[in-house]
Amino acid sequence: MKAIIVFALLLSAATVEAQSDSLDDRLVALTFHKLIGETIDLRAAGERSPLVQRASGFDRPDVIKAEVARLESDLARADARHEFVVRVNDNISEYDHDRGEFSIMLFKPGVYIDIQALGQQYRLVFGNADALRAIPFPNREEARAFDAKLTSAGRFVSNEIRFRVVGAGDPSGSVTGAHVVRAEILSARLLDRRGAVVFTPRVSAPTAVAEAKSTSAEVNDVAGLHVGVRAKDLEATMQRMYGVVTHQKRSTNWFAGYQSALVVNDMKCMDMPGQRGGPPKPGTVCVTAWLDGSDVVRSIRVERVFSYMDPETFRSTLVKKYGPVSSAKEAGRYALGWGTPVDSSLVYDRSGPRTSVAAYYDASDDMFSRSMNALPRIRVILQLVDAGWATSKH
Amino acid sequence: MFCLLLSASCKGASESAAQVPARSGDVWEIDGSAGRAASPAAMLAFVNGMHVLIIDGDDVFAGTQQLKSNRAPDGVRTLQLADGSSADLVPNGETFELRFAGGERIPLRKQAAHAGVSQ
Repeated sequence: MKAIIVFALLLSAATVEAQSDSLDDRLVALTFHKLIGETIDLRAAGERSPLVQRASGFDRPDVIKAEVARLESDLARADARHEFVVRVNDNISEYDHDRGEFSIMLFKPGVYIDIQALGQQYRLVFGNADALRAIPFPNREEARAFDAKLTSAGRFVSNEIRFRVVGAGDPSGSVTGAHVVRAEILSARLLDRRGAVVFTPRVSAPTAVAEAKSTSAEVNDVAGLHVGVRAKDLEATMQRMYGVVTHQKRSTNWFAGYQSALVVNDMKCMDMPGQRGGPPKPGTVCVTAWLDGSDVVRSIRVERVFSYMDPETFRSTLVKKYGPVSSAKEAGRYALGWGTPVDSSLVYDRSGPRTSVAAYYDASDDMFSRSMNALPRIRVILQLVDAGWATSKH
Repeated sequence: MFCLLLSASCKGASESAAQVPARSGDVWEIDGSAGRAASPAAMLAFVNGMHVLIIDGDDVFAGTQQLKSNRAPDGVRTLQLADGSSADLVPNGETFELRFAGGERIPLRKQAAHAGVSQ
């Protein structure tokens, strides 16, 4: 197998080839599908296998049959308790004098191991990687000696990782895609070219096999604005802080439980060709709050236009606020989700996360920015749905 | 609960919102001209509702929440955020600088009046 370490799209690209044959990539993929309960078309997967591709037309039906039988057998033995081992070529950063540590590249946010299996791509991320990222060296003399040793080896190491597959999605929200395999590192060690141990990251006690971390189902505010409050209280806040509030009556395409909305700066944060007054200026704030029949706020969307801000600032700030990401998407705009799953009619962008809390990073792409080669403005959108209330309305 | 007992119009409201002052105090906002170095502070301020603040004496409002604040003798107000962290409002001449516990900082400026809204 050829696993490759890759930086996610959001970060600068860096590709390092893994050492061959160190991982049963097909069993990783099958374990992933079995664990998350996602049906996989074994016939189609079998037809895409290299053995079938190489077979003659005459032999192909028999090879497909054998390949599908093998996949069925592998799927039957796939077990979330299975421990895998992968070895990848990795490197260690320069010494960070402020933090008194080196960093292991693979364990930085946004880095994943690329796996091709069953005729499709999987992105393997380690949910507890961040806890293993640092190689602490508070003593500068010891750090200098370690650095010299690394420099003589070109800073390259072999990272040997023992892990289990625990679920789907990258809790850091950096890696997106159709098949993001979340794994948990059980142990790891860095080896030099001769196989001598350079460093052994300390792994804290592993969690249970099933994904244990709950997300922020209890979140009840975005940008300091709460759901579950009286409309007139929110209106007073919106008017004082953000501008003139207009009242909108129910629209036919709204979620059934919404009866009206309070709006400030309707659509003024969006980039639209030929819009009056030019494109939205940094600092513009737009708010929409949807109300139920009792004039209680049940959903809030807050948008703010920023001068350029990198996606890593967006991601890391939100993860600090809301915790591990339950869903990350990158389809036109970068989006992260937390909390309870909600109906698609309640979310801002149906191609993004369908969760009670969602955040979107939207870069403007107007002609002026492109022609001036300028950094784009960034519209950050935060949306919160009162999920408990919404569930009761279904 | 007060709301539930007294008013049918707020039936179902379960969260309390701070009553922001209608006129008193000033509205402050993060200064967008602070440049890219301030973008982590700007984003942090936004997600915590502190990108726009009402400062009315010792009362500080961020969105629908009133932040607990302590003022030190040097005039620095320490604001308690909902997640348990804190931020300092540091006087800087006629304005303030917002400093988060993680070291992120951004100046504030007094918000211009919104069209159609008397401040």
